Parts: sequence; structure tokens; C-alpha cells
Amino acid sequence: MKRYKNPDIFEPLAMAYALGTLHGKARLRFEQLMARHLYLRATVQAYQQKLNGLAEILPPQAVHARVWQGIEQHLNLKVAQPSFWSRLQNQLNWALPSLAAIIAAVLTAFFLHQPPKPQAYVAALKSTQQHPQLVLAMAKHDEMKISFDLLDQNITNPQGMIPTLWCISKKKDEPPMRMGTLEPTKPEISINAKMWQGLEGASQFAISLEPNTVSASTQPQGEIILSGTLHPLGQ
Amino acid sequence: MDSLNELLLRCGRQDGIAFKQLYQHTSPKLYALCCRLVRDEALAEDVLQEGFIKIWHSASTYSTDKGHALTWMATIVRNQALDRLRMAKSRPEIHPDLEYESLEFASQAITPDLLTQLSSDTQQLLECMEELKPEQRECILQAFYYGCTHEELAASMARPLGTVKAWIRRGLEHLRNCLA
Repeated sequence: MKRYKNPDIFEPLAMAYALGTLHGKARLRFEQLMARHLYLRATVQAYQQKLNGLAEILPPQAVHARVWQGIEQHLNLKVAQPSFWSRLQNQLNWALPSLAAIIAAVLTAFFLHQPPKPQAYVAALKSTQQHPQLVLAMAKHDEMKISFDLLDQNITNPQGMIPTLWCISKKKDEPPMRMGTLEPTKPEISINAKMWQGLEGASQFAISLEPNTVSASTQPQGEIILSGTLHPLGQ
Repeated sequence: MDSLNELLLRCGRQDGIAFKQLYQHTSPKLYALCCRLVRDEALAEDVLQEGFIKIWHSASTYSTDKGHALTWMATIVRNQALDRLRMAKSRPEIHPDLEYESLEFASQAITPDLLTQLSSDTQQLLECMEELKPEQRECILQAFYYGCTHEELAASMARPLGTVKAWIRRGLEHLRNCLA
């Protein structure tokens, strides 16, 4: 399993799996690991999304009407003749897509509802150093904490230095937000409502090594050793 | 928002009219993908039907941050086709009347008109594919569109198995860096 923790190993395997060239026992082994590890599933899904764009350039091919009839029958879909208003709406959708988008955006933003908020965020933090290391971080709203999976490895911190988690904003002029420190015995950090709100506008998590003699600073003073993009889940 | 994305989002809200429109707009390309993968028109129709049933059931999990609707749907349909191929004891033989082995459509220069119709992710992917060596590019495209195994590629290209594996590995490495 250890080799699958190295991004230089698991990312090419995830790509080969997504492309379909991972076969036989290697494929089965990888599928078993994917069932257990979120980061492998997420990596495969990301590459499937990228590679499957190749379907866009295929020349279209006429499909027999029986295929739709079969789908309709299986799903018991009753696609009624659209009403005048539906037809008008569809005309607008196709003939005037920009107008429809503006109307939808305005209605959504001001009159209907706010978009659902993520219930969790996940990040795979890769080492910025030469030695490969991966740490998974998941922030959950229902628990108001950030949990870490160190994948059986320890974060190497020289004596007197403490691994500290930072939340990096999407806006470059905003300073990073200090989320807390990682204790070797307790791989989680409790967060408050303000911190949770801060995750909405965040692009990355980063872990730096901060000297424990300095009182908690608002900016990283030490070296960033791990960083990774933050992805919302459960929207 | 892209019209196909909007239709797929409406499918997630169990909108049958949107589903039919989505089918009409996307099934010709997805069917073309199925035909190439399973190499049999009747089986391709089955796979397409099963794929769209899965799309209907999974549409509520789609959001625009998961990529373009057609790409998201292609993932479901392609996995369905690959599963069918793995379940089959032997790979279907190529029908003599079907010229599914050609990669001509992917080799032609992408016109500016076509480029603007593609999602930004696909535009980036095509730019990265252009940087590959011809043999790496051909292996990856054959594997994607036709589900070719390493052994099949080695046979069709008359090259040793190890060479083909190395081409694919290096091609994917290059894509990984280019897409990062």
C-alpha cells in the first residue's frame, strides 16, 4: 500500500485507470484501494473528467428511435407535450441563451434561493519538499473540525517547530487565515463559525512549520511544507 | 451557463422534458463513442440506453464544478461500455462495414469554429495532446476511443508490447504535467 501514497505512483495509475489501460490484477488491486481511499477515487474522477472531453470531438452518429423508446419505457417517463409557457421558455433557452442566463442568474440570486452551501471541504496536501508525502485534510460542517489522514506517516518537524495549518484565500490581497496547529497525538483541529465561513472563499490549505517560541502569528513565519487545493463537497 | 449543463441540472430535478432535450442533443456523440468502444451497433444501443438510465438516476449529483455536462455524461457512458467489454468473454470482432478504427476525425486540424464550441477543459486537453509524440498520441487515442488493450495496440502497430506500454506511460506523464 505504501507505494500508492506517493503521488508520483498513484497519479499515473489513476490516469491509466481513467484511460482504461490498467488491466488484469493491477486494475483489480487499484479498484480495491479506490474503494477504501477517497483521494484515489477523487484523482480518478478528476482524470476521467479531463480525458472524457475527447468525446466532444467525435463526429455525431444517428441513433435509432428505439433507444429513446427503451429509455422512456424503462424509466416510465411521461414526457407531456410542453405547455405554451414551457415552449416559450425553451425557445428562449435555445434562441437567446445569454438572455436566459441573465434572467436565471438574476432570479436565482435575488428572488429564488441562495445556492446550497458545501457541507465539507477536502484537500490532498502534497509535499513542497523533495521527499514525497501526502496528507489528506477534511473539514466537516456538522463536526466543526478539520480531520487529517497522515497515511501512516508523520510530519517531520524539527525540534521547536510546530506544524500549523493555514487557509489561503482565492483573493490574492487577503492574508492567509491561521486555522490551528497539528498535534502528533490528535490529528484534528476544531474550528469556529468564522473559520468555516473563511473556507468558502479559500483556494488552498497549507501547512507551515512555525517556531513554538513565537506567539501565534497572523502570517506564516516558517517554511510551507505541504499544500493542496481545497475542494467543496456535498453541494 | 451552457445550455447542456442547464438541461442536466434540470434532469437532476426530475424534469423529463429537459432529459429528452438532453438526449436529443448528446446521444449522437455518445452513441458514436459506444460504437467505437464495443464495435457492435446493437450492443452500442444497449450500452447507450443503460448509460442514459444511469445519467437520469445520477443527474441530481451533477454540479457545474464537476465539468461540462457532455464530459460528465461521457464518463458514465464510457464506463458502462468498458464494463460490458470486461464482462464479455471475448472482444467483438470488427464489423467489415464499419470503419471505426480510423482516428481521422481526431487528426484533422481543429477549426476555430469547432474550438469555440468545445469546453475550456477539452481545449486544454487537445492542446496538451498536440504536444505528444505521434506514436504516444495514437496509442492514447486508440485506448480512449476503441478501448484497446496494450496487447491489441502492440499487435495493430506491429511493435513490441514493452514499447507500446512505454509510449502510453510517457504520454500520460506528459499529459499529467501539461494538465496540472
